[in-house]
Amino acid sequence: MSLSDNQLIQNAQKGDMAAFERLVYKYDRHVLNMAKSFRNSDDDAKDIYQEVFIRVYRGLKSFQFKSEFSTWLYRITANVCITYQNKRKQHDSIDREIGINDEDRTTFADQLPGELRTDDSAVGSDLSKHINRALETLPPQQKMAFTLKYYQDYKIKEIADIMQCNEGTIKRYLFTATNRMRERLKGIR
Amino acid sequence: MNKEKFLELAQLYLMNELEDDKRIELENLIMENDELRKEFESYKQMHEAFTSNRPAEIDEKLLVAVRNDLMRSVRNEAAKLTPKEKILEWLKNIFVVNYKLSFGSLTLVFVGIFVGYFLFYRSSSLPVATNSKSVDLDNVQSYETKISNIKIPNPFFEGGDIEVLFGGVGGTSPISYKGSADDPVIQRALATALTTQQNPGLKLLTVNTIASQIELDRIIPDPKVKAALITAMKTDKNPAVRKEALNVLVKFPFDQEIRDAYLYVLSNDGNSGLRVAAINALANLKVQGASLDDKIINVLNRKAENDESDFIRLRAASLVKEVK
Repeated sequence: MSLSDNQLIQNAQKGDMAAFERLVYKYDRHVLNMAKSFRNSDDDAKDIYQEVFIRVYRGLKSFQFKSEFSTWLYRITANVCITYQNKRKQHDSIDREIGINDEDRTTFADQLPGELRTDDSAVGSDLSKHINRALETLPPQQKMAFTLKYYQDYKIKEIADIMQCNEGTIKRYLFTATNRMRERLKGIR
Repeated sequence: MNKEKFLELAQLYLMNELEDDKRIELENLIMENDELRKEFESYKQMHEAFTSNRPAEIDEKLLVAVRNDLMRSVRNEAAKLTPKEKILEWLKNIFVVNYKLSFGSLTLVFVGIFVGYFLFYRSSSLPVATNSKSVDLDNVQSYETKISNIKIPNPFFEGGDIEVLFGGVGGTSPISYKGSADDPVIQRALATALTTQQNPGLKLLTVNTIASQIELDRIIPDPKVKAALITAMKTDKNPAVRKEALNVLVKFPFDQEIRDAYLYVLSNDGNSGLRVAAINALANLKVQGASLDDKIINVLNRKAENDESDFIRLRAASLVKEVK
């Protein structure tokens, strides 16, 4: 952690709002990108961003400099993303139960159960759309590992640090996620 | 190397997470085996599809907007006070901002305490315990007029101490006096209570207590006790109290005062039971050998003629006849 980060944190801990603001501006672009890549939605990314930095503001007073501020921040971001995903799933489940069936929210799995047929999909033209829908079917932890690896270019070790688990677990998340995605996307490419 | 292991290594290879020696080993394997090469190519395409699907970088306008929203939220968060801060703020508001109001309130509280102390505390101070040695019998009369309470063991007294509370009015501290029923101070207090207390139950208990002491010959007939009993017998509103007072007076040595009291009851009491008790008391004198004087005879004659009770008329006539 750079000295300037330390100084900014210490000042922010004393109630210096400008220091907190500088700290936010230094890292918030990456936080928003992480949220956007995880949820693939600007609105959801905004919500996650707000939640992350409010948690940071509340927790900054007890920050003890035992880890990099960035690591701490991205851990919070990963946690908020996973919690957000779980909440949305519950919300969607309730929506389905009460009959609200927003087509845009229908998962890829709901639309295409089982094997896909090649001629059912427009090959290549909307691959991105299918990937995103397939991503939606992954459990939050697998999805988080997947997005950090493929969209944010983190190394497995760094992902393990952010998600606070060992590298073996992250590898397992990634293999399982990749294989599931492969199954879902079979015949589209 | 089995297929599953191969696929794991292939993915790590594509993610650029494989060590050099493993990379070389995998590359050799791919070149040697057509089936694995096809599998690898499939994974490679998928990997490229994933990496090319990377979401676009966030829009600068979006970032500015979320930053503005965030700082607004943080300022609101900062404005929220912790419970400790809320208490401090409240105290500051009271003692700094509204100090006039708080000063007025405190003054009012102190004035209230001061007034309350003078009105209630001083008059309700605890009684001062005393004993017979510190009570001057000659001045009991001054206490008698100020008896505020009497505590007699109930049911009917057979032992134990009687507590009398003297004074306690006009801001003076009351005096608590405890003693047995044969204590002269207690006896005077009991007699006084008979004429000054309002509670008929207490008065009856008082009379019975005096009576019990007379029966045990513990009481030295005291003029003031006798006077109180006479007063009670003649004037108490409660017939039971009047009757009990008369029953106690019977046990006192007969004298003119007692005689006049009996005659008063016989002549004036509206309760026939009391009049019967009075005439019986007079008859008892005769049985004891005392002579009935003219004053008694006159009253008896009058009652023999005009008392509304047949029994009293007959009893009075019988007594007069016996005397003659």
